[in-house]
Formats: sequence, structure tokens, C-alpha cells
Amino acid sequence: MGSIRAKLLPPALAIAFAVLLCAVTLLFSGSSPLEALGAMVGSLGRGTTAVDVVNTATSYYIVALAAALGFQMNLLNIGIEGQYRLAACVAAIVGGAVTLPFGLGVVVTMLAAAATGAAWVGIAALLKVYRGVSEVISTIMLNALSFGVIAYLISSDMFGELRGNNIGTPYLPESSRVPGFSFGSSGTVFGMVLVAAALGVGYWVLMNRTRFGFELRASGKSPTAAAAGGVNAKKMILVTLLISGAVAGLAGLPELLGRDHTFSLNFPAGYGFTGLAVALLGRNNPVGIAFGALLWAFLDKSRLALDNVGVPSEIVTIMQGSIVLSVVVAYELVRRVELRAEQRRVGGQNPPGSGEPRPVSAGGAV
Amino acid sequence: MTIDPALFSAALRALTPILFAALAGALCQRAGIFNISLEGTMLVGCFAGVAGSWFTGNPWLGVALAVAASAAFSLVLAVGSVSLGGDAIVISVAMNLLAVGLTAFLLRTVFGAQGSFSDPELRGLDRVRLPLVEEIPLLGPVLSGHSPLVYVSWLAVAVTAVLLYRCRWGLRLRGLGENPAAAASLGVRVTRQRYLVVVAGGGLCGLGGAQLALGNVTLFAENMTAGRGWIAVVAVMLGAAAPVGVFLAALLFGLAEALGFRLQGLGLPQQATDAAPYVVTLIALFVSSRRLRRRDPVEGAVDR
Repeated sequence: MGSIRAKLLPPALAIAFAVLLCAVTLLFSGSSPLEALGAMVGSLGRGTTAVDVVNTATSYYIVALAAALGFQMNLLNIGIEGQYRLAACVAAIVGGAVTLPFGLGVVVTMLAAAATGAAWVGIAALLKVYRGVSEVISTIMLNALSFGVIAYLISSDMFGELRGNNIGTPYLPESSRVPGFSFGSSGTVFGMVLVAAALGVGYWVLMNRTRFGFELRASGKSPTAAAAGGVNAKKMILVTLLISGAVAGLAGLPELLGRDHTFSLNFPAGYGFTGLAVALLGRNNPVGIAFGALLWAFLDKSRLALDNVGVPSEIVTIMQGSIVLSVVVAYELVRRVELRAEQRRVGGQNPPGSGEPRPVSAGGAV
Repeated sequence: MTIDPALFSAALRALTPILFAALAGALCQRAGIFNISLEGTMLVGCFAGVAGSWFTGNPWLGVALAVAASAAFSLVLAVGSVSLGGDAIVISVAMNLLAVGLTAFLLRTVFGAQGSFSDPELRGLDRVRLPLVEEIPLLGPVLSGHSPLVYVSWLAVAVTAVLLYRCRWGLRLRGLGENPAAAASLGVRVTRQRYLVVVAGGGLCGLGGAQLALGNVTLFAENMTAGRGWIAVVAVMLGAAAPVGVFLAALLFGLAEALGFRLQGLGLPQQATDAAPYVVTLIALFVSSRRLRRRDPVEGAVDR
């Protein structure tokens, strides 16, 4: 487990496999894989693409941290989708309603977002802890429900205002916006990048340097052992889901506070599953997730470049799906190979007669 | 608002794709595999159904292709989770992503269309009028006049129930889900059984996709399953993975969807009627959850 090779090899293998798969698919459909790759990489140097990738990756990083928090404890927060969108919507309403000195407005907006995300997942958390309802099921429902709630909140009877054929919340006052880092004609990197980085550090500290993180990982590895060790599993589930929801709530803010300044009908959707995929790719590790988020954002942003050279841009989604698929399988395969090597090593140390490692010694490997 | 046969008729149409997928989910659940790839597998079925019907001119060949394609697609889950030991949930998430990409890619390369494909020449499944049933007052108009796959779905409920509860095969399958090691020690071939169930489930999802794309409508649109596969996952939970329970759960969603349209006609805001099925489910989950509690491994640790 510990070796750096075991950590880096699987994702590298998976990406190579996915690229190969997509190349073959493109060949069959009559496009040139090399031309496609060239267009994708080439687009990075042009216009605002590179900055766009970083900006999009900021949101992906935050949703993936939210997903990873759940994964560490074997909780599958499918509801991130609903949490971040509803949170962004409420944050836009709250941030637009208050006019505070600079800095304070941003803090209030962020708190509103985090609180909304936590409250929304809180329904699922309470259902799980007190009624035993699987969080997968209840968050699927809550996602669907969030669409209705958002549509209601931004309707013109409530907080929204009509703008052409779009509808959205009033624009945020200057004090609730987050300025970015301008790179001239290459675009402006969202200031929220710093918040995302801080969340990553916070995540690492929480997991590796606090008692809570230790208990959380222990509960994830073996609920029974953790319970025997005195961990209050109900409290752990509740708190983990609430933190995951609060983090998810912040994921819509880079766009909201840095660029859009309003929550309208075309606010980005679909980050929820991206978060799950990126967290898997990064193996719940804050640095790994950062690379995963950048790769994912790069793939998403290369769609336009692909369309420009006449390559069907849907290949990107196929690529993303096959990366996740092969990364899961690759981790499992590498784990098995390492296990076998370990057994051989241990077997070699033992006196003759102990012979071949028995399958039993691989207990739990299957 | 009037409660008339047309309402129930619409509900039966709406529930069929969900029912097929939920039966697939129930079978997998019984074999100990939490299958949330129903959404993507059904979407593959939608595309294959439309492609099959378009290129052969025969909607039934479309249905056959849908079943074959979805079954083949579900092999990804079987190979990944059963043979290679990957996490079924994670693989399912990837499969759903893959299905969206794959169908959109093929839509573009095969049909040269973006977003959706429909054509007056594309043949859907004809409605069946049941000769005697049709005459029954009230019930007749509800039960008659659906696409044949609607009736196939009811048959599938019955067949699954018999297989699960009245056959040795079903007994072994249920044992496999509850305790794989014990089942294996009694001679149940775990890998083979799980492959069979996952692939059969894929075929059922294919039927659901065919009903959606060739029965309910006659077209293919990107991501046209629109969450039905996820509703099916919920129906499996709500129905406790029993065929009849799953049918009732799917009926609840079908009715809620059909009722929603009616209530909108009465001036209720669309957001409220759209949300209705999900509120109903959350309440139903809250009420029925005591039974599910034992199935949850984490929860099991809590109670002890």
C-alpha cells in the first residue's frame, strides 16, 4: 500500500488504457486520434482555455473533496449535485440581500452556502441515523427535489427577476463578490482558488491530524471494529455527512462569486457526479484529487477544440467514463499483484515446509 | 379534477420503463450486487432500440437489439465487480457516464444528429387492444391499448416472483445475496450466478429502454432516461427487492407522474407537482424504513 509505485501506477495505467480505447473508437468512426490529441493540447495555449481549466477545476476540486469525505467512511453522497446547486442559489439570494463592508459580505455568503449544503444533506443524515434509510436513496430523492425548490426560489414571485428569456436572482453587490487574479488577455483566475486550496489543506489536517479524522477512517475501514473501540457510529455518520454537505455547498461559489454574480437558469449543473469520479481518480488524497480535477476540467474544456477540428466532442465523455472504470480495475489489479509479492516475500523468510502461501492467507483479498 | 381511466392508463405507461429497470435492480440486489447502473444501461437500450428499428424497419428487431446491447453493456459491471473485484457502485457510476457519452457519440456518428433523432419513418411499437378486456367498464380502458411491452413487464413481474420464491434457483440466489460464503460452501456457483443475474438484469433494462424510446415515444434523445433509472433504484429499496413490492413502488411513481400533469392543469405550480413524487417517496421511506434497517451493514454495527 505504502509504495509510491502502488499509488501512481494505477491512475497512469488507467489513463493510458482510456486514451487507447478512445483512440480506437475514433479510428473506427473515421477521425484521426492524433489530430484530436493535437487539437486538445494545442487549445491550452490559446485564448483563455488554460485559465478556464483552472477555474473549472476549482469547483471540481471542492465537489470532489465533499465526495471524498463521504468515501472515507463508506458513505456515498450522491446528493452533492442538489447540495451545491441549492446552496449556490440560497447564497446568491442572501448575498444579494445584504450590503456589508467588503469581506464581510463574502463571508456571510459563504456561510449561507455551507449552511444550506449541510442542511440539505442533513435530511438524508437524519433519515439514515434515525430511520436506517440508505443515504444513496434519500440523496437521489433530494437531488430531484432540489430542482423544484430552486425553480420555486428563483421564480419571479419569490426572489428571481426576469431578464430576457432567462430568470435569476438579483446581481450580487460589489461587497459580496470575490475578485480574481487577472492574466490579461488570458483571462482571470477565480479568487476562490485560494479557498479551494485552503479546503484541501483543511481536509488533509482533518483526516490525518485529528481524532475525528482517525475515527472517521477507522469507521470506514471496519465499522464493527470502530464501534468496539468506542466510536459513536451514529454521531460519525451525522457529522461526516454534514461536513460533506457544507463543503459541497461551497462548490458553486467560484462561478457565483467570481464570474456570474447571479444564480440563473443556466447555472452550471452536473458537478455532483464529476465530484464522485474525481475523488475516485484521486483516491481521496487531496493532492491526487487536485490532479484529477485539473485533468477532468481539461477534458471538459477541450470539447470546443475537438468540435472545431470536426472530431465528435462526445468522445470526451466516453474518455471520462472509461478513465473511472479502468482506474477502479487498475487499483484492484495492482493491489493483487502487490499482495502476491508480499506473500512471496513472507513465504521466503519462513523455514522450509511452510511452502507456498496458502490462499487462506489472502483472507479478504477477494 | 376527475379521476378517470385515462389517468391510470397514463400511470401504467409511465411506470413500465421504471418497472423493468427496478426488476433488474431487485434481481441484482438479491444476488448481493448493489446495481446503480440501471440508468445508463437503460439509456443504451433506448439507443439500440431506435437504431435497430430504424435500420431494419421492424420495431421488434429494435427491441431485440435493445435487449442484446443492454445485456452486453451490463457485462462491464459483471466483469468489473464479479471477476475483477472492483466496487459495484463505483463501476456503476462510471457506466452511467460511459452510457451518456457512448450514446451521444453514436447518435452523432451513426445518425449524424446532435441532441436528438426522430423521423416519421422511424417505427415504434403499435398499441395492442385486448379484445375481451377492452369491454370491461372502467377497467377496460385502463388495461387495454398499451404497447406490448407494458404487458411483457407484468409478465416479467410474475416470472421473477416465481423464479425467486418457487424455484430452487431462486432459493440459491437469495442465499447467495444474504451470505455468499455460506452459499458457496453449499455448492452455489457464485460467479456464474452473479454473471447470469447481472446480464439478465441488463436485458430487462434493455426492455425498459425499448419501451421508453419505441413505446412511450418514438425517438432517441440524449440522456432521455432522465433519472428513471435512479427512480428504479429507489423503487427497489421501497419494494424491498420483492417483485410485487417493486411493482407497487413503480406504480406509486407512475401515478404521481400522471397526477402531476393533472394538477398542473388545475393551476398548481409546476415546481410543486414535479416535486410531488419525491416528497411521497421520502415519506414512504420514512414510514417503511424499519424493515430496511437490518439490511444496512453500517446501521447493523450501530444497533449492536
